[in-house]
Amino acid sequence: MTLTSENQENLRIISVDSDRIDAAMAIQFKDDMRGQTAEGPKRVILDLTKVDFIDSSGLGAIVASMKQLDQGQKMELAGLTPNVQKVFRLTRMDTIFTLFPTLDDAVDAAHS
Amino acid sequence: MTLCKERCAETAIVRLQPDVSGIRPAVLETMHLCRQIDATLSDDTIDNIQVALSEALNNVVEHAFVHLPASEVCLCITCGPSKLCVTIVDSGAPLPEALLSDPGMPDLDVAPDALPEGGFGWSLIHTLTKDIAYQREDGINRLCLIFE
Repeated sequence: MTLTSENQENLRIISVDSDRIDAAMAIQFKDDMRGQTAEGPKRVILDLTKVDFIDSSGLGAIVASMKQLDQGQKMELAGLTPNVQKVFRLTRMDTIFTLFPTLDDAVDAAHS
Repeated sequence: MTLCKERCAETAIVRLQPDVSGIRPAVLETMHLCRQIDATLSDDTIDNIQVALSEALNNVVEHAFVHLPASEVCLCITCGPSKLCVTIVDSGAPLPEALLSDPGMPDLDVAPDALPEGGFGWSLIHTLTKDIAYQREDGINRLCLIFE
């Protein structure tokens, strides 16, 4: 599973280049995210456009990634597909994270 | 030894070893077989099967063989007039009876650094299934996830 990141002004976009985040990859995801967010820009957007499926381990890894952000850093999520949205909704994690329908929406919000 | 021989009025069987890398292929194969068995299954139901089965298998892999030698897990897919059942058959530890009732989702009304990273699985299984049935006999667990 790959994470690729792109910086724009004071923003880092981290894209998940995998169709899923599940129990088999949760620990790796969390570790890789720490590498991508540590000492980075204050605003982080996690781009989940390619992710068709997460299980509760994947959700937990996303929560863990948020908790390991630097002081003052903020992470928002973009491009949640229907399956992924459903898991966020059922667990009520959609009330915890700021979710944008598309990456463009998230980037526009960050720049406004 | 095959767990499902003669014990399951099966329409289709998927077998896997209880390690985390076996879960995804087994879930995908199950979804594929479910579609073959019942072409009228909605995308929504298939998605529910995907999540609920992944969660249940995560639990088997994590908990069922902690104190027992790992052995093959069997998924029996059976289809009735208004429901589809995926039964997880294993010879691991018994399922705690308390989990047969929905434990509810973890509380999120906590400080951000105390947000839960787990504990969602069983409540997801309950929410996404129409019903759950469990039997244990002769050291064999049969957990049936019932979908509409």
